[in-house]
Amino acid sequence: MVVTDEAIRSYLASHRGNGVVLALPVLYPREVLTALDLCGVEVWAHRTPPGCCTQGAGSMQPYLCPTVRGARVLLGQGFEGAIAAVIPHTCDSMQGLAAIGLDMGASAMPVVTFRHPRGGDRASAREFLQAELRAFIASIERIAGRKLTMDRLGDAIELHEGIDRAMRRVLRMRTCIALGDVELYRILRKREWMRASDFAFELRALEQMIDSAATPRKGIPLMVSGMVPEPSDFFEAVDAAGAYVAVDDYAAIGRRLPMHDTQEAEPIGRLIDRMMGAAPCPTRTSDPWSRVRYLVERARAARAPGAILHTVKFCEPELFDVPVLRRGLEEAGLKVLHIETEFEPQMSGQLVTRIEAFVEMLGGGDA
Amino acid sequence: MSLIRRLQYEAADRLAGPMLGRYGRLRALARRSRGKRRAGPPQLQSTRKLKELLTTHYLAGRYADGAVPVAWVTSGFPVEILRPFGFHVVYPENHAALCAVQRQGVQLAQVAEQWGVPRDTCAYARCDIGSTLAQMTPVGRIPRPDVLLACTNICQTVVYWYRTLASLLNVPLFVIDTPYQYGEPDAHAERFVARQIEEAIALCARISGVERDDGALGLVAREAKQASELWGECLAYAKRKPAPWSGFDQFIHIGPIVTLRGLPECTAYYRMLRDELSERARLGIAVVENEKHRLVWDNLPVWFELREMSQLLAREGFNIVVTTYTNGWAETAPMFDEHDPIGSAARVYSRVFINRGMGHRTALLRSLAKEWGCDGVLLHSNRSCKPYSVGQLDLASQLTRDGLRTLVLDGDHLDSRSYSKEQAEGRLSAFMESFA
Repeated sequence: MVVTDEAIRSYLASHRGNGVVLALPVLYPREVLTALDLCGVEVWAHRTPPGCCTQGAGSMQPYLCPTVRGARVLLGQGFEGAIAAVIPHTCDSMQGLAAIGLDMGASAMPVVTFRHPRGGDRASAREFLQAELRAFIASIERIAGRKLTMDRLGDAIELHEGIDRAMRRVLRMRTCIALGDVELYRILRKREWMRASDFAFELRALEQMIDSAATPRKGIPLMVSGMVPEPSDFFEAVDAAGAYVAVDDYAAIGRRLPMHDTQEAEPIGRLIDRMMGAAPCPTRTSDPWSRVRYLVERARAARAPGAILHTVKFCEPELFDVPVLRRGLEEAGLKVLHIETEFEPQMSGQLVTRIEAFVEMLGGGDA
Repeated sequence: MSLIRRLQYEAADRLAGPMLGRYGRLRALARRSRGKRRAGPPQLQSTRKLKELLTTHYLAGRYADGAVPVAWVTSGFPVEILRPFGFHVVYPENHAALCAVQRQGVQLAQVAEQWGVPRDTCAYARCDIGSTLAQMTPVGRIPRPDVLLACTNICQTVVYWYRTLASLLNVPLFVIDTPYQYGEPDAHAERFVARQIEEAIALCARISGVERDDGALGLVAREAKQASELWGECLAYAKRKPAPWSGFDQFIHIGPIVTLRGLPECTAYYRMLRDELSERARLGIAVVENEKHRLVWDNLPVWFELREMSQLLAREGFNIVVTTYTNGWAETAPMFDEHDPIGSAARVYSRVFINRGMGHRTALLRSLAKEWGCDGVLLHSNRSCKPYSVGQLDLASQLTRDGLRTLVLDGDHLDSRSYSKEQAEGRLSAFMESFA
């Protein structure tokens, strides 16, 4: 496990700001939470108490993803006195979870929804997103009992823009940081539960570790695309096989970063730009071929000869992209391995063998 | 567009299709005169007209590309906007259901799986992607589309499905996003939908080369409203005790309201069906002999098991008299407005029940159970359809608390590999015994 509940609880004991808000993946306006001094704690399946996924199965079908099943239990039980749960429209299952939370008495806390436009970046979509953001802000204000000023929102956006820039730099220069992938992700994933100002501090320390004169990391550079860097022994298996992650396209990490800085001055417009400008992701119904082009460009920049598509069981948005990604990446000369995990604490030996074989095929490994 | 192709298309649509339909009717009459009559109540006469309509639709479709503009659309797309532009419309979902009924769905889904689409995705999508890849279909040939049009009011999956098709066929895709309505319908979401409908109309005008005609759009809206209301009247005949038709019949007769909505032949068809059901009701013809218990069905049907399941229930005097799925095409019908075809379409298509929150769905199920005089609810937990299935366990608990008997039945609308016949029949039998 990359981060334990204990680590989060211990942090929240002294850093909860004006309250804790549970946030479900993937993209939601976290800048608004920051501006209201709320601490957003993201819910991925690993973060739910032990047995949550199994318990969740009692009220959710077993063919739903473990994040939704686990979150169902957390919604009912609460977590660290959270005052609300933010559920973005990431997929049909998440939408169903929000609907259950709102109408079926399944949530111990108010549920605030957030809907992405799903038809592409058109003028009508931006207009809708603007109204949706305003509705979201109004709901959070009501729950938090405080008004949000545009100045504070502007400051929060600026803080997150700085974090995004630093994260992009860290991810680009990750091979010049003397940290393994497990440790690097442990730090980067603190953004999922730390207040932005605290995370910015952690990130600065990480940036200071960048040593551009360092000896290049040994092994085969890989690109990894998936939802969340779990389980951590995936990275240990990659490392043991003689490879390392050079390009990150995890929805929880690099894929949420806007690809460019916004030129917009007005805070709501900046938020819209940041959301619309995030890297292509199927949970926002991006075109898979634009995703292929984006990934190929990044793999080439990092000289990665292979890509691992790391999907979560029952994650329909990711699963539908697999055939196009595989074809597109292979046409661009990359070798592709598709693996599927389910937030289990440890990977199966079979998966480890597949990773070893893949890296060996790319020319790495002990052979 | 080629003139010869257009002639072929018109000939298939106006001559060959209806002739094939009549030939089918003659064969049925001949079978009857030879004494080969199926068990149970007499078949609805309208079924033959239904076959004629759908045969004509698919036959004309073979010659549509190159003759008229062709669009592939999702079942929840506001198809009315396409009619004035002369599009031939193909419904991949309807096609997948047809493949499932003919038990070819799994074979086609496997083609998509071999191509790389994982099995944990919607089986309709896999079936249609497989059909496109293998160029195989039980209807002979599906015309190549000029445009793909998807609407998210039934699920987000359609975007992934249609993007894949767009990529395979190299044709443009336009998505009308209908944001999910958690509580009461919200104005900003419906404004967004209306704007997208305007954008889609402009695209259709460009593709077809036909100018937008607001008068024609209004007339189509009126036609769609009439047909949907007639469909609602047909469904309402199942409120009679005993019911003159069943939910299983409704699953079959839903075809035209999905595929031909907005066309006069669709309206005429439901007028005919309504009249026949009225006559059946007057004569007291029951679709299930000794109807003892009446049920609501939630979710899509298990297409490949329609007959077996209906017979199993009927043997014990159980009748599914209403379904949330078939009711979906009648529920929002009164909102069509010929004087505001765009705004009303935005409301009609945003407010389909599957795009509404659980509060609405609970109220809907309660009201269907009450109005149709049901004492039980079968909830098909459909592995392929997450938006329909998530929340069913909560719904079942709620309805049980209301005093209704409920059963959550695991299955799939197309993929028989995700359906255990023995287990389902065992559970249905135990469920029926619980009424004793």
